[in-house]
Amino acid sequence: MDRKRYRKQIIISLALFGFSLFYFLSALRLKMGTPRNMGPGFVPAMIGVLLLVSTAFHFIRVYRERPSGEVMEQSAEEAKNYWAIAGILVCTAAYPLILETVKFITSTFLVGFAMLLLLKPRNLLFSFLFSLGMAVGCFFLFSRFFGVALPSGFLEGLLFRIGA
Amino acid sequence: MKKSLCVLLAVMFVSAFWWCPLWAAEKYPDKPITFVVPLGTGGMTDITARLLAEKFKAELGQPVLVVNKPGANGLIGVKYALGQPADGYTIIVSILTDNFASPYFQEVEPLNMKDLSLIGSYMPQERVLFTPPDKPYKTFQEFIDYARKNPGKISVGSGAVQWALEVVKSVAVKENLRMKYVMFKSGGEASTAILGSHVDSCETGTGTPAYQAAREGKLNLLVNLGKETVPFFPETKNLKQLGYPFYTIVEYGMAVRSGTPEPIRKKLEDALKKVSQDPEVKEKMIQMGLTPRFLDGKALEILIQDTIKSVPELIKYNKAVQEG
Amino acid sequence: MKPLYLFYALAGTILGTITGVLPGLGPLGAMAILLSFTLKMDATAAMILFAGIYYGAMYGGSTTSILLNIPGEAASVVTCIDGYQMAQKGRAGAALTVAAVGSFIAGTISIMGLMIVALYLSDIALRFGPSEFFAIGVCGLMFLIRLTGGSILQSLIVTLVGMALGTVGIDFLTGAERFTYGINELGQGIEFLPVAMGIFGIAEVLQSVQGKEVPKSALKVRLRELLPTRKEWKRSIPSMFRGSVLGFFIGLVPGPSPIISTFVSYFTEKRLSKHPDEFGHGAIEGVAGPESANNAAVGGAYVPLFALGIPFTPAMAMVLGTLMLHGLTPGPNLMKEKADLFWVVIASMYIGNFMLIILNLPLVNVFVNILRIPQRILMPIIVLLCLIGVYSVNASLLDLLLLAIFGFIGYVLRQAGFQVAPLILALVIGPMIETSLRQALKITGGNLAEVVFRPICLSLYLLTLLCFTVPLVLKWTRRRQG
Repeated sequence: MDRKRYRKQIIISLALFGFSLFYFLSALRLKMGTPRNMGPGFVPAMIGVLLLVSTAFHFIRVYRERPSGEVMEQSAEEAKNYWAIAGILVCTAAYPLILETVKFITSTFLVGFAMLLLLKPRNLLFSFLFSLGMAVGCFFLFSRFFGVALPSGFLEGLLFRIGA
Repeated sequence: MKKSLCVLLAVMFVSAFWWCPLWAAEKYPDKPITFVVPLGTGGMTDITARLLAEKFKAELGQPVLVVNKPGANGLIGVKYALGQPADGYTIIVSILTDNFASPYFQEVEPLNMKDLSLIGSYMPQERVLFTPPDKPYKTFQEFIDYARKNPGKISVGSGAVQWALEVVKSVAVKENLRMKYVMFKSGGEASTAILGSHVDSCETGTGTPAYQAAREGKLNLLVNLGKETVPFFPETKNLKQLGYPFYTIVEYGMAVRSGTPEPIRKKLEDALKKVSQDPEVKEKMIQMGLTPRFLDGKALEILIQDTIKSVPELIKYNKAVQEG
Repeated sequence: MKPLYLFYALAGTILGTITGVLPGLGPLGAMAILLSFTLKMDATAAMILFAGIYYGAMYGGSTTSILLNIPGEAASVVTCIDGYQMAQKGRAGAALTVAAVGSFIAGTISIMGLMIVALYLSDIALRFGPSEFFAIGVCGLMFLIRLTGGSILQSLIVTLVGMALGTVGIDFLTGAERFTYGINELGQGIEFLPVAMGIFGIAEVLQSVQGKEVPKSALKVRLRELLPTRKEWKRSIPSMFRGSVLGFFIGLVPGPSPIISTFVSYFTEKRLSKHPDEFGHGAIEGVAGPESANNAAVGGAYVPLFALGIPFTPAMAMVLGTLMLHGLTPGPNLMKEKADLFWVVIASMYIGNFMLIILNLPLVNVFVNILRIPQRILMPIIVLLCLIGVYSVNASLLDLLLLAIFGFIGYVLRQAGFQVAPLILALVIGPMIETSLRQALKITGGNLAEVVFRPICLSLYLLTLLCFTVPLVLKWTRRRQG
């Protein structure tokens, strides 16, 4: 295993173990009950134990395959577009945070536009129009056609009346 | 001169306050309304809510969207609706009595009546204790006698209404019985369990598959855990008649957040009254084995106050019960 | 049979396919929305419409599984495993076709089964109580852990994580809050949809974005390449039949049967295949089997509904509710009194299936072309649709945050070489296992032996055990001879 992969694997393995520990300890705080009358904490505790054991095994296995120290060939630059990845995650997470404040069309437009920009579009105007089109189109599709209740404000009210 | 001007201004000022909500009510509704159903899609509350939504649309002239927000026995949906503006466009449609009862069972902060403005109710539901016909007990008294002679043997299931199960427990407390209690996730799941004889008895409501099966003679009714009569089974007694201290109240109704202008609430109350007495609605509900019945906001309030009084007493009473 | 019914069948299928393709909505949502419309129709028309929606949605879900590695619903998760790999290898058209044809064959077989079996085997559904559900869950879990090849340890970990996530929320049996940390909305637990959309959808987007943009072939795909080759047909047709039969019988069983049928089918196909190493990398049986199974399970699920009036999935509950609103109460009586309704519904299911294949085969070409949309436009579209779709179900902002969180988790897990499918499936099955176990123990008064030693349960445990040990024994004896 080369250095890079090892580093990734060991971090994730540790994270999994950490999660198991956290889960198990939280489960202990719940009422256990008896095997006859299982409380809310019984099954989570069991799952927690299994998780701890298996993630521990996994960690050991990953650790034993650690690279011996010589640096393997530099893995070819994979052009990992870390900005794009982080950016998309941020956009996805931002959406629920702004959705109820600026309402549907604006949030959808903003997030869509941001993502298009992140992915290096050729034409700024195209991105703008496309995001706008997506926002309005989705609004019509979901709100009018499917009858889903979307956060609505001024803009949405206007659009809803069109063709009402 | 100045004085009369002042009086005139005062009168105008006051009447504006009085007149404004009326004007709002006149305009209401001028955009789509949302019914918030705090229980899952496809359940009894959901289906009846959608039926009513259709009729409300005709009555009020605006589309009515139904949104499901299940969880925590209805509390999540109710909390969500209470967080929306008090303008009458977000309406809670649920088993309101249960919404007030369940926080006591879950040991969380109880719902405050002051937070809600009740519109009215459209349907009570009776909770009935069913049992398969091949059991040695055919009546409620026989059931109790059997349970007394065989402590720890009988299992009692519940179709997801904790209150009803606790009421059965209170009977066990009074009669000094020891039974096993099992909670199911829904009336449907409970129905499967009782029809397959996986439990000895089970409480669930009218309209569920178990109830329909009982109508065909596949299940026996032991007792009604509510305080009214069971549709199609007029001879089944209820707990109150038999002299037991507690009973359940399951009432399907509507409410809005308190602070909603009274004229709007009244408009919704009138609409509910009209819709629930619509012959088509009544016919559909009766065929399902449900009993449509309108209660206005005030009458519903009485039921809820009964709930708030009765449930904590029930919990205290049951603390003495031994777990089977 | 009025021509209007044909229209409803078509409308239902189209609508179902759309909702199956779009993340979030799903057959349940579509039916809920249309419920008010159906009040104005007669019962038969409503049933035809809903049947169309259901089948359409099943198929739509597999479309996105194959093309984008995003499962439309839990029953399509397994299709992602090999279907997407086939698409990556340029065999998307073949995969889609096999899925469509398999679904059609399965639908037909299960409908025939429904006709024959409804009256006689319906009581089987009633024999399943908490102990049996526990058995189903545990056995299903065993299949699940061995579903995808590779490290058992890794599969186990991922499955356990899924189960752990399933315990979050208000404990149904006691009302206690578990792992909610005061966040109200977590009280209802972590839903399947945001997790699935995150782990498959968003993570997939992240995965695609990380690499250099691979220019998709601009050549118009020829019809011949769209369809499966003769060899592929030869391999998939037996799988389709096996999947259909398996799916139907599993569908009779209460619980999340379409989901379980998919992984039992996948497991079976892998065991029986002459090319087991291809599984996980684009084995066509891995698409044909599960796709047929989940459609057949739908037909199987109708049996307890019609015969006993008991719905085992939320979608069936919707169908039940609609029937009731039309004044029909399913149950043995319905079959006797309104037998003609039953037959019309059966016929409508045939028509629905037929419509599905007529509609969707030509669409395969259209769908495949979706892959040709440049990534930088397709990815934002997918993300937005995931977001809106998830929101449309429960209007929950928490769900959207979960989408982002699980997108990250899914991406990270994939980077470490973990398979994510078991996580989602465990999330669904886990709670069922726990609840059934606790209910069963309550009923038997804590007697675990009573929970395990029941005829149906024992048969299930034994069967599962055999499925795992027999191949091992065979391998061992072969090695000794060799």
